[in-house]
Amino acid sequence: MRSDQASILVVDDELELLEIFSAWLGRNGYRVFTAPNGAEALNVLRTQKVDLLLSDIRMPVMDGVTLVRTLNQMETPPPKIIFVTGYGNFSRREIFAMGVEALLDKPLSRPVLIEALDRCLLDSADKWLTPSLLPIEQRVTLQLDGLKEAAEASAFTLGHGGCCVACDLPLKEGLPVELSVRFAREGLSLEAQGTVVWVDAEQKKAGIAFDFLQPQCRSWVMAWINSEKPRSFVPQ
Amino acid sequence: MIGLLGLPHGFGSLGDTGLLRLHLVSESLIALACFPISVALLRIVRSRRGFRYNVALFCLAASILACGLTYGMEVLTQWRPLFWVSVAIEAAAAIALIAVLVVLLRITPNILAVPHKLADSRFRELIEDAPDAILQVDERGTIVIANRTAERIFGYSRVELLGSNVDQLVPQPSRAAHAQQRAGFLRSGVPMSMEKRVGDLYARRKDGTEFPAEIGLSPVKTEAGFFVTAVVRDVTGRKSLERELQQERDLRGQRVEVLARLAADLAHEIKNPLAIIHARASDLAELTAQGLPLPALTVEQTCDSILKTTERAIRVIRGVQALAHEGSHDPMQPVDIHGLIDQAVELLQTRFATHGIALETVVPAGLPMLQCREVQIEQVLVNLLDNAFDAIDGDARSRPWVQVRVSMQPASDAVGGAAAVHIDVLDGGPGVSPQDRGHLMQTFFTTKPRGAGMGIGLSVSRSIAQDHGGTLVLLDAEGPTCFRLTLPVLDRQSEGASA
Repeated sequence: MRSDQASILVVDDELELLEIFSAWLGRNGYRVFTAPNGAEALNVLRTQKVDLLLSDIRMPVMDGVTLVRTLNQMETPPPKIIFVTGYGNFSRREIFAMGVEALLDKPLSRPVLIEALDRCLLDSADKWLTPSLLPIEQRVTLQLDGLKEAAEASAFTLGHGGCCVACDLPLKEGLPVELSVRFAREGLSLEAQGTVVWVDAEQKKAGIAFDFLQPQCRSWVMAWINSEKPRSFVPQ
Repeated sequence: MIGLLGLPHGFGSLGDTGLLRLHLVSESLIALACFPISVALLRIVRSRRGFRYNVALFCLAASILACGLTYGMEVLTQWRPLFWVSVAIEAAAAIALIAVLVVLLRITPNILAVPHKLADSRFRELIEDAPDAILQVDERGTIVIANRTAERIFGYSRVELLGSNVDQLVPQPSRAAHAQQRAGFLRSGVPMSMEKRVGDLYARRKDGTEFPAEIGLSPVKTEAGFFVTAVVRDVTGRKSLERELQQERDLRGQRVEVLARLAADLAHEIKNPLAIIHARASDLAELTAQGLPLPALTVEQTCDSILKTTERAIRVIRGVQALAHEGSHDPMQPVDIHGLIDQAVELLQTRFATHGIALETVVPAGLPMLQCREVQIEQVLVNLLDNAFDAIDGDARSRPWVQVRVSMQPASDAVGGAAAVHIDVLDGGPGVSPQDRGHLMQTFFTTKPRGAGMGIGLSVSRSIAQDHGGTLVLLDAEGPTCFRLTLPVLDRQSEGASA
């Protein structure tokens, strides 16, 4: 999807920021809608076709989390979602599981915002074409029975943008990792590069968003996503 | 007559029958006296088994018995020549006496070590005037020993204490339990200190008043049975000190609680202005980097926005600094009520607005000044507003509004003629349930969900109000929930004088 065709709804109670973000996005050719809170955003979403929702979390009347939950309950598929926030009191794990694709911290610069938007607007398959330039710091290798069994045992769950893995490795948020998972039953393997987006040290679980998939596994992962349509970007 | 030849004492040769008679009577009496003496000593030995001087007493009894027999034989030999028997008994008496001597030499140091009367009385004084009450009770709980301090602490005379049951020194509600514990303690027989239980132990004076006590118990086993020695310390002074410390801790705890909530708010409140400043500055930088012209108007507007936003951030930080400030040792100073309320409201305005709750103030003009520690009173206001916020935010039945309303206390309600002001915090929340009303000001009572409140806010707020000579109450009237903070104000004259 080309950026000049994409429509973006920006939601923030900080009106000056709303104005700045709109100006930035407009300059890049996006079609921009704005709303000062979640409730107003829902009104816009009812009448306009929106490809991407860029929302603050803490807002009056209806906050960003409630907005996304409401969208998830609707029949129409929700737009892609990016959260921009300065508020630290939320669960990253929950947010990615709700389907939010990126979490940006305030303050942020125009290039960072635009890059995140552009990447988010790409189709999944196109997103995972380029290997990461960052040096891989951790290798996660799993030998599993089958995809379904692994999900039932909470050992490995796949979302539409990443996966949740149970492992003893010392993973940190933001860590670039290389993932190698084999499913004996299906005879499939997943070879990917990704970034750790949340860690639960107690349950020894981590959420990893995919950055790059090896060509040989791209097709089965895409087929699985298209058939299962998981709402979670990175499952819990 | 029996021949007198060979009489050991040689009286016979004198042929004086008067002297001989006296001799025989005396010796008979000595012999007769010796038997009961030894019997008495043996009885002591039998009845006091384990007495440390029993061996000595036994030897003494044996030697006296032997001596008595010697004298008896002396008399008997006047009539029957049982000289061998007599001599054998004499030998036995000699051995018994030597045994007594040996035992006596061995136990002399022990006997000397027993405190003599003066030392004994000093020891008694030590017990009598010990800093703690000392009581000894028997198995049934009857007091058998009580020192002077016990009389003083409990207000009973010794005559009243001795013979009465120790349970009467225990407050009524725990008496039955106490009797049971006493029995349990006698069974276990392990000394115990109740220091760790300070706070739950109370003792009762004669006049029915109670005092917090620290109690140590040790069992005493005697021939007469089991006894329990109890040492009771009145810890009233320490308790009040502990209460003060606790209050201080609560105050700190509350500040931490409020600060933790504010920290989350602060992150949001500061990051938004930072995001604006950052965006404005990076826009300018981008234009410059691309070599594009910088119109004066753009620069002016950007700088204006940055300045305005910076000031906003500074105001937020100032509000938090004021709250974090210690405050409790600040001097009381005249403070403008209007400013005080504005400051508290400013601190929370954003959170209220974020949740769509209207926050309104009604402050009449021309109010006198408050004489207070500003930081503390602001803390109370923030706390009341916080509670109002939680009441509304957590309940779907509530209407989203909070009002701070200030009014002068009517002169007719004034205590001691002092003027006072009511600061009411009203909210559209669901109200306080009747069963919660009574507990509301208790420390650690909270109606908030787990983790949301520590339940110390109101009790600390009330103690701050009381510190200022004021009150904090939940009004009983119908209508919206209203917490009323009443604080004395400076009258116009003293205000003029202090200005």
